[in-house]
Amino acid sequence: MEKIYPSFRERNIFSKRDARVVILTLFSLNLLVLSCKGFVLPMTLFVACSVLYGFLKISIKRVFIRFAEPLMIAGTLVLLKFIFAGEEGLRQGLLVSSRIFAAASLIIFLSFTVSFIDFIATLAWLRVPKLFIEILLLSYRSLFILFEEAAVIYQAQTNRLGYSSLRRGVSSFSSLAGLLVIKVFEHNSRLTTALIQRGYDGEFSIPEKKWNFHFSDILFAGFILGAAGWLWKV
Amino acid sequence: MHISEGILPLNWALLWLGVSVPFLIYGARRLKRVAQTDLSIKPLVGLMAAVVFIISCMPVPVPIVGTCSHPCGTGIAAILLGPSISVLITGAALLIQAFFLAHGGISTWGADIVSMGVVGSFSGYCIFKTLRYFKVNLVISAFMGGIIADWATYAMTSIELASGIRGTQEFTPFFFQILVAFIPTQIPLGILEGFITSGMILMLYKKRPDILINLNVIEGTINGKNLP
Repeated sequence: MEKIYPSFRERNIFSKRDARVVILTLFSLNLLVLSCKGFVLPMTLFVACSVLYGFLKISIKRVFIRFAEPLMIAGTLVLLKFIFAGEEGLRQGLLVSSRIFAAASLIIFLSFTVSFIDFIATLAWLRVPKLFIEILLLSYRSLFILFEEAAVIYQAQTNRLGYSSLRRGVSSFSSLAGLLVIKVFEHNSRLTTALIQRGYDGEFSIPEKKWNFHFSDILFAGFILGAAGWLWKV
Repeated sequence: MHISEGILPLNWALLWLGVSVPFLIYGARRLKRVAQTDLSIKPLVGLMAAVVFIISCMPVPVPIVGTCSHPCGTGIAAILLGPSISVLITGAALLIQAFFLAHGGISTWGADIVSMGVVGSFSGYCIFKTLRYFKVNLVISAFMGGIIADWATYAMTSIELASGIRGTQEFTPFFFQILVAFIPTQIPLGILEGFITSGMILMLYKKRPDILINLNVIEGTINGKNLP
């Protein structure tokens, strides 16, 4: 649960930059990585991001938790390709793995430097349909409430040996999930009543964001993308 | 299952995104239409997206194919709110997971929506509704809906992975290699998802049957005691 709390976002020099520039730069780098045919750009970005994690004093444990899934995927992909397609397969597996490392590093870097609210504001700035943004905001706000509810129910079940065997575990987890849905409907009923009392007409207002825009950010992003573009050709 | 960031080449990532967009638009239009008469639907969709987030972020590693398995949670969302709105819910949950946990990804968002949201939701919903049409017990229908939603999701994910990363290998054998690799985790996980889905429906039926009636999952009066 600790993993998704807002505190995960470290205060650092990148989090003070214009989120739009950071997101669009990382997204462009990701596109370059995905379309890349060589190892140089993905591995350079992976190393650069790893160095940045250290520079930003993000704990290794926290980074490793995020990397666990991509790491496992990359490792097994290489193995799978090698077993079924020999040396050529190994080369393809390593290429895909390097892409996974780089792309995952970029998205992890994004999650450490940009807050979810800034992410939402950038989506709004990019003219993503308002309805989808509303749902994202509502889900984000509900997550923490539901996690707490789930934790309380889980603790109560554990205290009564609810997970002492597979059968009881499945039964308890089903009850937990069912109770969570019931809680959702109860929350929804209260939330809707509260919203209507405050003049809710079916439309949510998206928080306006005052962007901390500097031209130097664009220049820096341009430099990074130019260098990445050069490495893309290698 | 979530396909990790970077695993699909750009052309395949864009293709799957293109496939998912019409379903997202359809879901959004349907939600808008419902929201005109029911003010509570938008908050409910947001809350259900949070539930799908929680259920589907419990990954179980798949040993050979190099990915993770987990309950999808889209089956229950589709049964309760309909498959088109469930696609929208899945899209929101997947985007938050990609951002918060690097679980899935931004570039693989479209592919994940197609497998979990579109194929998972529609298959689970269709099975549930078909069984209910033939007057099969509510709990068994939900159980089958949950299982099929899960297994269909994984079959679709295997297709996406096989087409995206096969390289010079032929599609069909590689697809079956991936599919077989999923079996050790996915058969029990699918059954688990079936139990979870039926358990949730049973819990709702026992504690709050009015919710199921309001959402047109069951017919009947609120005071009905026996399972239909």
